[in-house]
This record gives sequence, structure tokens and C-alpha cells, in this order.
Amino acid sequence: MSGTAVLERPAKVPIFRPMVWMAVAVGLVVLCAAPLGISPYWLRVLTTVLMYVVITQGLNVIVGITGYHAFGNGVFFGIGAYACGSSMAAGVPFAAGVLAAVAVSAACALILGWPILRLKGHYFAIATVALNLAAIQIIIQIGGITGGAQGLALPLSTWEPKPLYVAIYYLMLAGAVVSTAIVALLLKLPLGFALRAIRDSERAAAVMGIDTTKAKVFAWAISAGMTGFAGGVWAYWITFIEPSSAFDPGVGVKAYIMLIIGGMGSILGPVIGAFVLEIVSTLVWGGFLKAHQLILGLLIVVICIVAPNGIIDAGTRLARLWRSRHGAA
Amino acid sequence: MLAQATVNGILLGGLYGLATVGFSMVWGVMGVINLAHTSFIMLGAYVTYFLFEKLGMDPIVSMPFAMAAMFVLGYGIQRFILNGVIRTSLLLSLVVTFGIDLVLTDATILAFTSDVRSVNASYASTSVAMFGTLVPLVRLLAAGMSLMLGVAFFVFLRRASLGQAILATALDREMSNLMGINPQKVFALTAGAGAALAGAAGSLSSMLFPVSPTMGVSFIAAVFVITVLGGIGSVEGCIVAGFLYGLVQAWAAYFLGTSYQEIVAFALFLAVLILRPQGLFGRAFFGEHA
Amino acid sequence: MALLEARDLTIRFGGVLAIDSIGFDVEAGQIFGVIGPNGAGKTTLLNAISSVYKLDAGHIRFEDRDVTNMASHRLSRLGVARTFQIVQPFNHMTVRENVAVGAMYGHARLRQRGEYFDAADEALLRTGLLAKAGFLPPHLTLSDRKRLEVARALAMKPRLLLLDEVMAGLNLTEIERTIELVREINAAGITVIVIEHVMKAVLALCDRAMVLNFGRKLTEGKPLDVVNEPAVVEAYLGSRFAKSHAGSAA
Repeated sequence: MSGTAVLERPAKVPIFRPMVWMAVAVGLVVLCAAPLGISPYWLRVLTTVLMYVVITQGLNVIVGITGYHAFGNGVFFGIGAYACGSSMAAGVPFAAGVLAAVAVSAACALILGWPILRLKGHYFAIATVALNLAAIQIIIQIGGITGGAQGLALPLSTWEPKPLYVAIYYLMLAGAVVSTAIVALLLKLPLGFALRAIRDSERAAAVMGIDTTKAKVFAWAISAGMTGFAGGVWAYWITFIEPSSAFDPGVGVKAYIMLIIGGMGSILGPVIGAFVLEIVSTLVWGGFLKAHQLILGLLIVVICIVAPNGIIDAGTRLARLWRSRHGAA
Repeated sequence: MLAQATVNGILLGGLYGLATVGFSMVWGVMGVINLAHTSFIMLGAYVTYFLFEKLGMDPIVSMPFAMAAMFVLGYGIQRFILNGVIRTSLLLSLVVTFGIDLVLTDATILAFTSDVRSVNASYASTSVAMFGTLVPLVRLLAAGMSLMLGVAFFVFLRRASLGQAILATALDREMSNLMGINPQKVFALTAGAGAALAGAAGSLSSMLFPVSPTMGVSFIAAVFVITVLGGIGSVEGCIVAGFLYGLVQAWAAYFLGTSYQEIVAFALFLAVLILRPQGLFGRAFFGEHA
Repeated sequence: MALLEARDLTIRFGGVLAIDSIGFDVEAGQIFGVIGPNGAGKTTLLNAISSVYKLDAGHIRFEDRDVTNMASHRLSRLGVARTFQIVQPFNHMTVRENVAVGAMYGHARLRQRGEYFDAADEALLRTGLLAKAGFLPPHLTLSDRKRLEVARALAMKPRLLLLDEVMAGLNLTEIERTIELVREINAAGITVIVIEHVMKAVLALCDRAMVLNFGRKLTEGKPLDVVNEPAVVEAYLGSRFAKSHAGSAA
């Protein structure tokens, strides 16, 4: 019996659940109160962090949970930005613009998903990158209401800048909370089980009755809708968008790295990843304006070597290593 | 005019093919999608520029130096960074190479500023009459050298024992390992060779295009499409697909306008991925049906 | 009307005929065996029946409904479940969650949280895995992982269960236990098709057996009769052995 005990360790390591909930509650309170006491610069930084929480949660749905590595998922950020921007330029109010951002992004994923999600592994990854890059050209070609290569200026708000930026901050915070809640809910619903099954063994999932194509496309639509929301609000925030910045592949890649840092498929992982990477890159930008891309690149390489499964996993492994060298067996 | 565009397109396609061979081989042999590949092209161009500025060296003469420098860089990156990362997860390589690309590009900006440079060979303005059109000599030379290098690499893979080791590892890594081939070494060598070929392409392209730290971006579409069109890991596929790509691009520009070139490229890319993922020369997979 | 009717099943891989015009019936409540030497096409046949591979020719009827080339997930919902020869557990989900997926998406289609976990626990109990419900598959022994495959299929509440070499790699005790399990499953009303190499299991379990060789159906009948047929002995052991043992019991 003791021989088999070595092989069969129980799966769950006791995570201190009450502590996690408390940390989340404290964090939320701090984030809600933040605009009252911080400088406009840091408000901007925090808004960006929360925006990336939304984008990374979106990525979490298709990459972390479903296992389809959409390296170019940032395309939906751009689609959301342009959906909001173009509709507002046509006279639609901001609230409807945001709805349009979510709806159009989700619709694009629903349509494109059928052919593209049939691709596996690497093929899917670079097909999404191609999509991301192609979108830039497509917008330039469409021109018209999208402004084409010239870019698109969104109608300015009638609000004063200070309260406007605070409002946008709270909007992004709401987005971050809702997107995290969606991921948490998804993991509890049958669809979440189906997606995780697809990630682990798509063949087995199919013979067990899961319509894998439908599930994947639906997941991508959810992912796209979240990402599109972030893009739509972002467009209104910076008031001027152009193809190469709205569809900057770096957005999707950054989110991917945040997902790696935080741990794929976890509920709070994207939150951790977004905070860590964005704050670190802001500090680096502030300190090394000239070489910040270089430092960011180095950071990425180091993270991939040292903590490919997330910093929590790396931390646990480090702790175990330390314990095995310094403590009793 | 159409003849001019066609010939130019095909010749340019030869260069694109050379630029892609390394990327395709690296993907085929170890499954790594190296997003830093286009920086190798860019750095090859800078080596040539540097030797041209400082020593007045002709681009074709400096090409071997660019290749050697890139070989060392590619080998080093694979040996010390990527070999470790691959063991964790293949898809992580996408992220790591993205980071490496950032580092290389930014380092070049810091060293050389983002100013655009040019390499003007003494024969830059010479043209040769061919097929009823006037072809710039530099284009002819670039395409010719690309084809030569491509064929040389193809022969190397099939005749040299090292080349055969690379092919064997691509076909069946486990079996090759069991037969005494060290995969880590093969990976590093393949990466080195791939980078060297990219560097060569960069050298050659410095005769045709302006040199800047972000020049790699203009190769991205070509590299993706040619890799998939030719079949991942196939040198002959890259060469043929390269010419095809150049041709399609030239015709797209001629008939639809230059702004449509990239869209045509991406449309072709997605079409191949969805309709015939193994490309022209890749192996089809039997058994699994949708 | 048989539960499963197969006619002229044919699949080609490039130039090779993996299975060639195979036809057979499986009656409800039977345990039907598919045997044959390596490479005979047994797993290909199973993949064809469970719609993992598309048929190049032939048709299949399940419960008097044409299911030829139906999508796998739809076939599963009709009541067909299968295990894989090389086990395919969901490695990042617990044993209980693995089985719950079957209850959610199989023929059972339970969508309430309580319902599907209860059904999962029931299947785990029947396969003897309840104590390990919280484990992750990589931490299980091969024998337990094979049971997990079966539990997942059971949770789907299938009418027809396809077992792909479920005895492979098990020791004698484990084989005995699995034979018992299959008997219990069949006794509960589930028709079973068993692909097997382990003759002991085939002889113990199957009401009828079909022999494949080189993608073709060689013969069909009661297991004891079939294994003694000269053509079958020749297929497994070669013509010299068959000639020298012609007529004697296996």
C-alpha cells in the first residue's frame, strides 16, 4: 500500500480560500478609492492596468481555458475600437458605441471562428497573428467612416477632463470585475467543463458528446466581446485611433505574457499578470526611456525561462526547493 | 509594363524565398516559430552596411561575414535560451522570440539610431536587358545568389551527414535520438544555419532596399505566407513558393494597386492554411477527419 | 432489428485499404468481440463505428437510424460511448470532473450541478474509483486510468459501449477485475463491443466474436468455435502452425 501512496498524491493543495477572498475584497476597496488620492499620471497607469485585466481575461477564455493559443487576439481590441469610434463618428452616443464594440467583436469571432478554429496548435496561433496584421490593411482599404490610414477622431466628451478620466477609470474597473466574474462563472458551468476538456483532449471531448466547434466558437466570441469592450472604451479615452495602434500586435502579445505571468486558466491570474507587467513596464519606461523596449524584451525572455507557468507556480517551486535544502524532509 | 512587373516580382520572390528558408526549417525541425527571424534579416543588412561604410566592401563580398555573424547569433540564442524553453512548452517559443525580437530591434536603434541607411554598390544603377524589359543588375544578382544559396542548402541537407541529421530530426526526433543524433545540437545548428541564411538575405536586400532597424517588418507577411505555401520545413518548397509569392505580389500590385498587396498576401496565407495546410511540398496527414 | 447494423464498411488511407467491406450485426444486450492479429484494422473499425474516422463506403444503422458519418458528438448523444486504447484523460481536471463531463454531454445530458456530480460518483462507485475522485489523472496508475476511461463512458448512460483493448497492459488480477466490471455493465443492460487481444477475456465475456485479418472479416461466431477455426489459427500463428495443429483444440 505504501508503494502506491507515492504515486497517488491527492490533487488539491489546500489554498487558503478565506485569505484569497479577503485579499480580493481589500483589493477592490483600494481600487474603488484610488481615484481620490492619486495623481493623474498614476490614474492613467491604473486605468491601463484594468484595461489589460479585461483583455487578458478575454485571452484567458480562449487560451487558458480552451487551449487555443490566439497570439493575435488583439485584433478584437482594434475591432472594438473601430466599432465604437465609427459608430460614434456617425452620431451614436458612447454607451451605444461600447455596446457596438462588444457586439461587433463577438460577431467577428463567431464568423471567423468556424474556419479558423479548425486549425490546431501553431497553425491557429499564426493564423490569428495574420488576422491581426491583415486587419490593419483592411481598415486602410475600407477608409470611409473608419478614417482609413488617416485615422479616426472620436467626438469629444462634454465633461471636464478630470471627472471624465475618473469615470473612464471606473468603467474599466467595472469591466475588469465583470470579465473576471465571467471567467469564474464559466469555469463552473458545463461550457467551462467542455472547454477544459477540449484543451486537454479534443478527440475525447468529441466522443463524449461535446460539439467542439460550437463550444470553441462560442468561447472565442466571449473572448472577443471582452477584448472589444476594452478597445471601445480605449478609443473613447484617447479620442484618436489609427490602424497601426488599434491593431498593434503588441497588445495581444502583452496580454499573452500577462497570462503567462499570472498562470493560464486561473481566475485571478490575469489580474496578477496585468498588475505585475504593466506596473513594471511603467517603472522601466519612467527610468529608462531610451531602452525601454530592450528591457521589456529582456524581461519577457527572463520570465519565459524562469516562470513559464506563472509566478505563483515559480514561487511554489522555489519554496519547495528552499525547503528541501534547508528543512526536514 | 506587365512583363516588367512580372520579371521584377519573380526576382524579388527569389530573395523572399531565401529570407524564409531559415524560418521554415526551424519550424519544421523543432517546431519553433521564431518571431525574431526578421531581425536576423535586418542585422545581416546592418553588417553589410557597416562593412560598406567602414571598409567600402561590396555587399556580395560582405555577405559571408553577415552569414557568419548571424550563424553565431542564431546558434547562441537557440543553445542558451530556446533549447531550455522548448522543453517547457513549444508555444512559449512564440513569446520568447517576440521578446528577443524586441531586444535585437531596440539594440540596433540604440547603436545605429533609427535613421534609414542605404548601401550603394558601384553597379547599383546598371540594368540588364532581359525578356524585353530592363532589369536592374542588383535585382538579378540578389535573385541569383538567393537561388544558389537555396540550392546549396538543399544539397547540404541531403548529402552532408550533418544535413541528413537535421532532416532525420525533423522527421522523427525520438528515432533520431535513439540512433545517436543529439537533438539539442541539431536544433542549435539548424537555428544557426537558418539565421545565417536570413543574414544572407538581409545582405542582398541592402542592395535593393533602404536599411533601417524596422526593415524586418516588411518581410513578415512574405515569410509567413511562403513558409505555409511551400510546406513547413521544406527548402524546395520555400524556393518555389518564394517565386510564386513574388509573382502574386507583383500582379496584385499591377492589377489592384500596391495597397492591396498585403491583403492579397494574407488572404493567400489563410486560404492555404484552411484548404491545404501542408502546402505544396509538405506531407499530408491521414486518418483524422473533421 | 439489431441494435447496431454495419454493412460494407470501407476506409482507405492513401493506397492502403485499412478496412474492406466489413459487415456485421450486434444484438441488444450482447457482448460482441472483435479480434484479430495486429494491424488487422480493429481500431480503425472502432473509429469508424464511433465516427472518429469517415467511411469511404458502407453504412451503419444504430437503433434503426442511419448514423453513417454522423458527427461524433451527435452519435454520443444518441447513446454510443467509447474508450480509447491509449487513454485520453483530461489531465488538468480531477477524476470526478472527468467523469462529470460524460454525464453532462453524453446521452444522459444532465445539466444541473448536483445531478451530474451525483451521476459521476455513481459511475466512480461502479468502477471502484470513488476513493480517488479528487485525484488528477497523471497521478493514477495505468489500471486506474483505464477504469477512468470506462467510468467516463458509463456516466454518459450509453446504450452501446465500445471498449478498445481495455485489458492491454493489465496484470492478471486487474484483468479478472475488469472482466467482472464488463459483466456487470452488460448485466445492467448496456450492449458492449469489445476489441481485444487478451483471449481469456474474449472467451470469458463474449456472446459472439468476429475475426478480422488484413482489414477483412475472416469469420464470425461463438468465441470458442471461432478461435478453433483453421483460418483463424493461421491468421494469428501462421500457416505452418495451423497445418501442424489442424483439428486439435486451441
